[in-house]
Formats: sequence, C-alpha cells, structure tokens
Amino acid sequence: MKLTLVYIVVLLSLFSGCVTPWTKSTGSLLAQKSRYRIDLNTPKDWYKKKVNKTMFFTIHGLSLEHIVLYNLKWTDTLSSGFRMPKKVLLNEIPEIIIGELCANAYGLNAEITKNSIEEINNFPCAVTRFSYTAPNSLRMQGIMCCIPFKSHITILRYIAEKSHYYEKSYEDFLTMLSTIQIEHKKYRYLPGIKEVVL
Amino acid sequence: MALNITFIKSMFRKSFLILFFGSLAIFAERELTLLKEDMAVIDSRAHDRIDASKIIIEDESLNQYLKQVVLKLHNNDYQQAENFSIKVYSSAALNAFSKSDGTIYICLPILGMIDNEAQLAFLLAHEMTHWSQNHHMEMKYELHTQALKAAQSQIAGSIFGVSGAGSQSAQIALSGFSKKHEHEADSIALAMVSLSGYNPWAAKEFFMTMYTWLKHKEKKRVAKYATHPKLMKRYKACKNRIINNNTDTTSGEIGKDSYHSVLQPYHIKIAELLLQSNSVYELHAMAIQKSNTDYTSPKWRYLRGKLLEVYFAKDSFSVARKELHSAAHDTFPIVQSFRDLGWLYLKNGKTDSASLYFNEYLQANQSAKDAELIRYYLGQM
Repeated sequence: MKLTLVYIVVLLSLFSGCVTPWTKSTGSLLAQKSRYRIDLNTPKDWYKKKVNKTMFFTIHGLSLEHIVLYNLKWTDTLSSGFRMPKKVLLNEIPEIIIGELCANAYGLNAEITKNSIEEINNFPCAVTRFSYTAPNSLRMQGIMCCIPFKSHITILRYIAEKSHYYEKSYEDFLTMLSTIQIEHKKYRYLPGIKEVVL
Repeated sequence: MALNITFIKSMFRKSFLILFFGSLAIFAERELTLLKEDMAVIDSRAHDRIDASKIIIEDESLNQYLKQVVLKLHNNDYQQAENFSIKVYSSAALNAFSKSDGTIYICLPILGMIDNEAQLAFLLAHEMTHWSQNHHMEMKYELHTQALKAAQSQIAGSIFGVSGAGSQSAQIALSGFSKKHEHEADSIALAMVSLSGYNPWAAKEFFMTMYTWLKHKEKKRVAKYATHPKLMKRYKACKNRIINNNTDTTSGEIGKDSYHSVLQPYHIKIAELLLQSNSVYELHAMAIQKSNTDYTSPKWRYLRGKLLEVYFAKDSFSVARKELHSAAHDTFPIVQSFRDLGWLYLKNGKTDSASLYFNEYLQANQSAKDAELIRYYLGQM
C-alpha cells in the first residue's frame, strides 16, 4: 500500500513540477550584478512569475497587460544573429530591441511613437513608447526603459492593450519605475552622456 | 489471508500502470485524430492569415511580369500556366512557398536578393514542382504516419524513462523526407528552366547569393531537424547536374535588364523592411550586392549609411560617413541623414561635427518627432 502511495505522490509531483505558480508581487528585488534595487510592493494586486531569469508581472493576464524585467548582456547574440554594437548610443538600444521583438514575429506594424532620454534615479535611461499589433490582432501599446550597466542592459517593459488596459495600469508601471535605485559604480556611460555628479 | 493481500496489492499496481499508460495512449490517439482532421484547415488558415493581413502587394505590372515568367516556363501553354497564381507579400523573411491549390507565395526580400529573370524562373519552377509532384499531400501523409510512430515510441519511451524519444525520431524522419522533396524540386526545376530557354547556371548563382545573405543563419542550423538541405549542398548538387548535362555557361537567357526594370522600385521598400525587422546581415548583404550596381538614389544611400552607422560603426565609419554625406547633400536631400551623421560623429567622439549636423537637422525639421532627443544630446555637449 505504501508503494502505491509513493507512486501517486511521484505521479502528482511530476504533474505539479510542470507549472511554476504565479505569486503576489511583494518585497523588493536586489539585482546582484548591477546592484540596482526595485520595489515590487508598489503595484498592488499584481502577480509575478520568474521564467528563465525573466520576471513577469500581470493583473489581468499576459496578453492584456504585463510588465517584464530582464537583463540583456552586451555580448548576447540576438535572434537575428547580431550582437549589440560596441559603439551604440543610448537611444539606439530600444530601437534594436524592438526590431528584435518584431523579427521574432512578436508583432506586426511596430511603430516607435517617442524615443527619449529621461532620468531615473538621476541616471539617464532610454525611454521609448511604441505600439504594435499582436498575433491575436489586439493593438498593443508599450513603454520600455533601458538602463545601461557595465556588463548588461536592464530592460523594464510595460505592454498593454491600447484602448482600454494601457491607461489602467500605466501609473503602476511608473510607480515601479520610480523605485529603481541604481548604484553609481555599475552604470555604463555611453557616448554623448555626461557623467552624473552626485 | 496474507497471500490475498499481496495479490490485491500487485493487481492494484498493475491496474494503476495500465491506467496510466492507457491514458497516455488515449491522449496520443486524440492528438493524432485532431492532426489528421484539422491539417487541411490549419494549412489554409495559415495562408488565409497572410491574405487577410493586407500585406499582399497589389501591383499590376509586377503580377503581369511574374505571370509572363510562369507562362514561359510552360512553353506558352496557357492552360498549364493557369494552374498557378502568384502572390508577393511584404515580410522581412527570405522565403517562398506554395499552397496545395497552386498559389505561390513569395516574400518581397527574396525578389531583392534575386538578380535576374533566370533566377526568378528557377525559384518559381521549384515551387511549381512542389505542387505538380504532390509534395504537399505526401508530406501530410508522412506527418500522419510519423505522428503515429511518435505516439507509440513516446509510450514505449515513457516506460523506459526516455522522454521525447518519439517526437525526436519523428522530426528527424520528417526532416529527411522533406529534404528529399527539396532535392527533387531542385532537379526538376533545373530541367524546366533549361527547357524553357533560360540559362541553368543562374540556379547555381541563386544558391550562392542565398548563402551569402543567410551565412549567419546557415551556420546555426541543425541539419538533422531542418526541412531544407544545406544551401552549399544544394549549390553543389545543382552545379554537378549542370556539368553532367554539358550545358554551356553562356547558353540561354539571363534577363537581367527586364528583371531590374520591374523590381528596382521595390529595392528601397525591401531595405526598409529588412531594417525594420532587424535583419541586419541580410540588409548588409543587399547593400554590398547593390553597391556594385549603379544604385545611387539618396534614399538608398541613406538606408545603407544608417545601417553601417548603427550596426557596423566600428569598421565602417568612413563608408557610412560617405553614404550619409551623399544622401544629405543630394539635390533632393534626405533630412534624416543630418541627424544620423550627427550620431555617427558623436559615437566616434567628434562632438563638434556632431553638434553641427544636429543643428542643421533641427533647422531643417524643427517639429521632428525626435527633436527633444537631439536637444538632449546638444545640451550634454
């Protein structure tokens, strides 16, 4: 009988092992390499899930709205077979990443509506607003923030269905963005950007 | 009593195992039935999506030209040529494929890669062969057979603790089957091209150009799972076939001028498509291929310069600068060239020149979308 119970436990654990659960987004995240801190408490009612070093956040479901937080190494090969150029301007990073997303059939008719450099925690970061049509035909709107660090780029991206969901959760994204704390030594100065005097 | 309990235990275990593997078999069978019934629907849905997405290019002169080539491939037999319709669509992929009703879909960039009518004829003949040799149906049948085998091996594999064995062997088998079709289509297409008066050596050139464009992807391709043979293999097979037929290199028509007169207006659109989709290597190959020709429009020079400026600035500063300069100082200048020249100089530490070009850009285009960004950089200098 014990053996049968063991069978059942093993079987159940096999099935449950396939699914990583969504958990309430709480606490704060301290990135070890880049030494930046981000508060995950702020957007209330959001759920988080980590898949292959990428952190996803959502309230209504990934296809309606989500925030993604991940790192891209400077040396990482993109799916087009290309690497991030060594000489790159801050504003070019999101263009390359959005191009990469579209190359992966992530969306059709992508359009960058605004590309700017804004200060987050006193450091200049590329902030890009864009829109595209998802494979399920929903028009999506997004905002992406790229922070250059010495070993990699940290990307925080908010994407939501344009007409209804984008405005709903936009403030939550901004709140999350405002909690980022960057360590001075780890920031990488790209051409055309003056060193920040603290 | 003790014996009875042991017997019940062993029966319980056996029935549990039977139920478990039985349920796996039912799942596999269910998937198989779905696969068989829905295959045709899924196939047509994929193509319908392209048709519905408004990316099909409606150009009478282009369509007429493609029809002419199809007609020539059938030695002016209208009835045979009527079996095929060709649709060109805007996508950054370098691909062409045929549907089981005789529709051939061609992605626009492949027409930018092709250099003459003989190469186009080879591509069309290849796709027409897939249709005429019934490769679609054969592939569907093979897919069905392999799915059944995969389900069986999956069950056997799960008993011995080897997961994914079935699907892997099915993929390898399907890959081999598909490659056989590709070789057959190449061989028949080559014969069609020769018989209809085109130069068959163009087919060899077609594979070489394709290899130049896709070198970076070709290296990464896992041959045993791929649906197409390696490009160099196809190139060699094609070359050997031509040599075996003792075909003279100068025999037959190439049709370079007629091809370029129809396709040249699309080159900028192709370059833009490739740049938008980050197909940098393809665009780079195209820029090199077209720079050898007399392709000097300012828009093209701007795109080429932008490509070099963004992605290859380290090695190509002087070339990018030259291209962007030409685009900026043309009789009909491309205003964005000033901005890109600014960025190029900025990246290379020449802030004075960068500031000069940024100011010129802002003067020419004060309400530009990226004016704020340019002003930010000017403020940092």
